Amino acid sequence: MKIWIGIILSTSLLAGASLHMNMQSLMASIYAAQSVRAAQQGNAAGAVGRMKSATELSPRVSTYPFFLSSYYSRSNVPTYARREIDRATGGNPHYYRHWLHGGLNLWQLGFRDAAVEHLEQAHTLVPNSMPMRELLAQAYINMGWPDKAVDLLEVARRLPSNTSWAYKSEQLLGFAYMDLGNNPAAKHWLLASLEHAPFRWTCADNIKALQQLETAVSREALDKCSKASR
Amino acid sequence: MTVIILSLVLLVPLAFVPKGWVLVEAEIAYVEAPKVYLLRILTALAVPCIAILLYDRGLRLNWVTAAVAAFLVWAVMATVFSTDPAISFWGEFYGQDGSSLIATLHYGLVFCAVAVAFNTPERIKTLLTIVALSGAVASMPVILQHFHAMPLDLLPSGVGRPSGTFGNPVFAGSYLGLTAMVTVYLTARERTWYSLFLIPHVGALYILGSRGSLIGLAVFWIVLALYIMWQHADRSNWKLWLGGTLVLMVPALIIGGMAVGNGRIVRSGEEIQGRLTIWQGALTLVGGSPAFGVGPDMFRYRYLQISPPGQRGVPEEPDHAHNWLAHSAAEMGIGGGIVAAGLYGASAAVSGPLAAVFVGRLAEQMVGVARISDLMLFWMLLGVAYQTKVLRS
Repeated sequence: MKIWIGIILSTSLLAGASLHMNMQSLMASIYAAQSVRAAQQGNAAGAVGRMKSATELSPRVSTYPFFLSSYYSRSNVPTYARREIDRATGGNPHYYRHWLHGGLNLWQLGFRDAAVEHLEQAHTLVPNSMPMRELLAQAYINMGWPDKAVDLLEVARRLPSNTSWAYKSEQLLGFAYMDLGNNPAAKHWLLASLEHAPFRWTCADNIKALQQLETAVSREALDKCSKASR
Repeated sequence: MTVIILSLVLLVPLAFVPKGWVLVEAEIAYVEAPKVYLLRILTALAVPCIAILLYDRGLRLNWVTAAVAAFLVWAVMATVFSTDPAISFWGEFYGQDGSSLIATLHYGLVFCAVAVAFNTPERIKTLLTIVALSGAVASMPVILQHFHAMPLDLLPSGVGRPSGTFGNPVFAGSYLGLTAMVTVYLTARERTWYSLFLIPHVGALYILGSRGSLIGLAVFWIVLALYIMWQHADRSNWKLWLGGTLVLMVPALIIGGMAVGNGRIVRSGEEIQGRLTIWQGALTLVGGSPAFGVGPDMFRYRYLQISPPGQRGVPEEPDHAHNWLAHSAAEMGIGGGIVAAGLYGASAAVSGPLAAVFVGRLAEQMVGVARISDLMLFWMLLGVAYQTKVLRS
C-alpha cells in the first residue's frame, strides 16, 4: 500500500512538472507570435521583449533566438545578434537550416570567419545538396580561399551534372581557378557553365570573367613577346 | 477520467487557433501546436487518476499489454542509445508532435487511461460512438473547404487541397480513415443509425483523395467481410459462403473506385518513385544502425545525410519514412520495427471483429504518416483491444 502511495505521489509530481512545462511552452508560443506582430507594426522594443520572454519560457525552441537575432541585427547590435545565433544553433545542432541561416546572417553582420564555420557545418549535415555546396564555395572565394572552393566543387563533379542547375557550380569553379591563376582551367569551366546556363541573364558574369581572362592572356602574351624581342 | 478521455477524442482533432496566434517551428503551428498542448495537458491532468485506477484494478498481462510494454521499453532504450538522446527525448522541435520519447510516453498514458477506465461494454461503446461522431464533425471542415464555404482560413499558405483542421491532407486522411473504420465497425455491430456518421466521412475522404486512407479502408472492409462470413455463414455450404463474401466485398471495390476516380492515382508514377527512394533511404539507415536505429525523432537529420540530390540538386527532406514499420525500424532499429509490428499483431489477434480496424490501419500506415490525432486514436483503440480481450476472458 505504501509503495503504491509513493508511486501515485511521484507520478503525480512528474505529471505536475509536465503540466507546468507544457503551459510554459504554450505561453512561449503565444508570446513569440505577439512578438512577430509587434515587429510587423514597427514596435521594436515590444518585439524584443516578447521574444525574450518566449526564449526564457521555452529555451529548447531554436526558432525564437533566430527571431531575436534578426531584431538585434535591424537595431545594429551585431554582438547580441551573434549571441542569439549561437544559442539557436547550439539548441539543435543537427538541423542544417539553423546553421545555414545563421551563417548567412553572420556574413551580413560582418562575422565572416564564423559565417564560414556555420556554412561548413551546414554542408556537413547535408553533404549531397548542390546549392549548399555552391554557397560554401562562394564564401570560400569571397574569403580569398579559392583552393578550398576548388576542392569542394571538384567533389561535386562526381554527382550527376549534366543538367541546367550545374551551371552555377561550373561558374564558381571558373572563378576559383581564375583566382588561383589557372587561366586555361578557368576558361574551360566558364565556357562549360555557359552551355548549362538556364537563362540569358545568367551568362553576363561568365562573359565578363572571360573578357577579363582574355585581357589577362593578351597582356601575358605581350609581356612574353616584349621579353623575347630584347 | 472518462470525461478527460472523451474530451481528448472530441477536442484534439478539431483543435486550432487563428493563424498567427502561436509560433513554433512548424508552418502549420496554428493547427498542430493546440493539438499537442491539449493532449499533453489533459493527459498530465489524468495521471493521478490513472495511477489510482491502476492500483485499484490493475492491468492484466496479455498480448496487448505485453506488446505495449515492449514498445515503450524499446523506445526508452532507443532514446538512451540514440545519436542525440536529448533530441530523441524532447523531440526534434520541442513542443511539436513526432516520434520522440516524450510523445510516445503520452500515448502510452492514453492507452493506460482507456485500458483501466473503459472496462465495461457500455463504456467502450460510448467511446467508439464519440470517435465516430468526432470523425463526422472533423469531416465537415474538409467538405466546406472544398466548396469554398469555410468561414475560417485554415489552409496552409500555397496549398490548394482541403485539409480540414489538420493542416495537411495526409494527416486528415489518416484520421478520417480510422474514424470511418470505427464507424463501419459500430454500424455492423450495433445499430444501422451509426451509418449516418458515414455520410460526411465518405464525402471528406473522396475530397481529400488520400490514397493511403482509401487503401486502408478497402482492406478493412475485406477483412471485416471475411470475418462476418466466417462467423455467421454455413461453412459447409461453400457456394453460399463464397457468394456472401463477394457481395460483402462490393463496398471495397467502390472504395477502390473512389481512389481511382478522383484522379490522383493517375499522377502516381513520380510519387511512387519518391516513396521508393524514401523507403530505400530508411532501409539504409536501418543497415547503418540495426540495433537501436538512429534514435527517435532523428529520422530527418540522418536521412538528409544520405539523401541523394533530387530536383535541381536539392535533396529530399522527409521527416517520416511514409511507412510505419520502416520508420520505426530506422529510428529504433530492427527490434523497434518488430515491436511496432507487434502492436498491430497483438491487438488484431485478440480483438475479434475490431481486428479489421487494426489490419486496415496497418495497410494505411504502409504508405501514410501517423500524426497526433490518429496516433492518439490508435493508442486508445489499443486500450479498447485490451479490454475486449479482458471482457471476453
